[in-house]
Amino acid sequence: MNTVLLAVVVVLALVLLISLLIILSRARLTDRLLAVQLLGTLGVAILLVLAVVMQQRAFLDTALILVLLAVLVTAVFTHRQRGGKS
Amino acid sequence: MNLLDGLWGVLDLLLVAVLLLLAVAAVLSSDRRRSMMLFIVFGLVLALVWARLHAPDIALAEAAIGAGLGGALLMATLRRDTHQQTDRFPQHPALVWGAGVLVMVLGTAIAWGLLSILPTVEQTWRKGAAVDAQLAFSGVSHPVTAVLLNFRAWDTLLELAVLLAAILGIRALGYVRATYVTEAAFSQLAVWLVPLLILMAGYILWAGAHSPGGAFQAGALLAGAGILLRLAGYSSAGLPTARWLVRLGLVAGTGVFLLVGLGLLGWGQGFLHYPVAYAKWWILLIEMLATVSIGMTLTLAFMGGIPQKEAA
Repeated sequence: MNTVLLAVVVVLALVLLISLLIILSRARLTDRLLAVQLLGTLGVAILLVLAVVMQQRAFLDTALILVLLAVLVTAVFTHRQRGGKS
Repeated sequence: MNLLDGLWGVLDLLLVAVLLLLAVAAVLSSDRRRSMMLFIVFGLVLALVWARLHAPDIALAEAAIGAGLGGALLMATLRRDTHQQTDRFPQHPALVWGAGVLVMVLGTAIAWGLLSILPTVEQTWRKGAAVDAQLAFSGVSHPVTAVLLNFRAWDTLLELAVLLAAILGIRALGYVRATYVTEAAFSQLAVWLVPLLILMAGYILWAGAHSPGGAFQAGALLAGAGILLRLAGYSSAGLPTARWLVRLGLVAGTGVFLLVGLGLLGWGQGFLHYPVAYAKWWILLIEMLATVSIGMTLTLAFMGGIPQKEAA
């Protein structure tokens, strides 16, 4: 069971690497922002599966925090892009 | 079990590759916004690496402070009206080469330092065992929290003092605009996310007693709520508008920490040596106030000054 889950983590990490290579080849800022969100989601997925594989409940908390704050980073970014001032 | 080991090896290689790639790309990017985004993702992947190294506390702190809130603060530094000219890094060859040489020297020094402490890892393990042995007397059941708030409370107090000094500097910069236009999307986002962030902050604070968590991470989440409120058009970002209350909130963490320490000193206990029976409550009190202070500090840092609504 653990071997299967670990294989899932490896595949996710591979997707992470491929996504990163795609991002680096893109020039538009919005592409990059979406890509950052994708990497965030991948990171959360990796943490969730790792929590099971490594028997470490605290990773679930870390994943939850990442979800909440990834939204915040996007919000701040889009706010500036639209010309909001704070 | 060879397959299992092989898979771990592949995972580690992939994570290291992604991390290095991000670091190099972030440094080499000529556009500030791109560098920032790559740096935020770097923090995220770093959190994964810490998790992989069996360091859940550092992973949590990295996710909350390094990637999440640090990202928001970095974004806040981008000026609205900057365009190609100002968003470029200085390209003067002397500067670039100078920075390069400096980084090389520093990197070599750090690598050498790490290599030289490798033989002492054994002693570090022994220190860990010493913490575990004393854990029952610390008032909490999580070794990292025991070290931060009890055995080495002095260090944590100084960290809080550094934050306080930073926010005093930021507030000295003057006033920031009180009102600005926002859109329905941000109001809706705030309605959904702010309660969740506050709830999560409370949970992470409480979790610190028995598992990874604590005041700094909880404070970062509270600040996330404050930043969202600010984006949604609440000019004071959910902070009190009475200036004395804001000041009280900012110094609460450092102040009470210090007072508890001095009080115990007067009681004949030694600075920040809590009596075993009450240690848990002292730690909880300090952690709660520190969370409020850190949350307010980071929210105000995002604003970059004193909101005009604060009445003198």
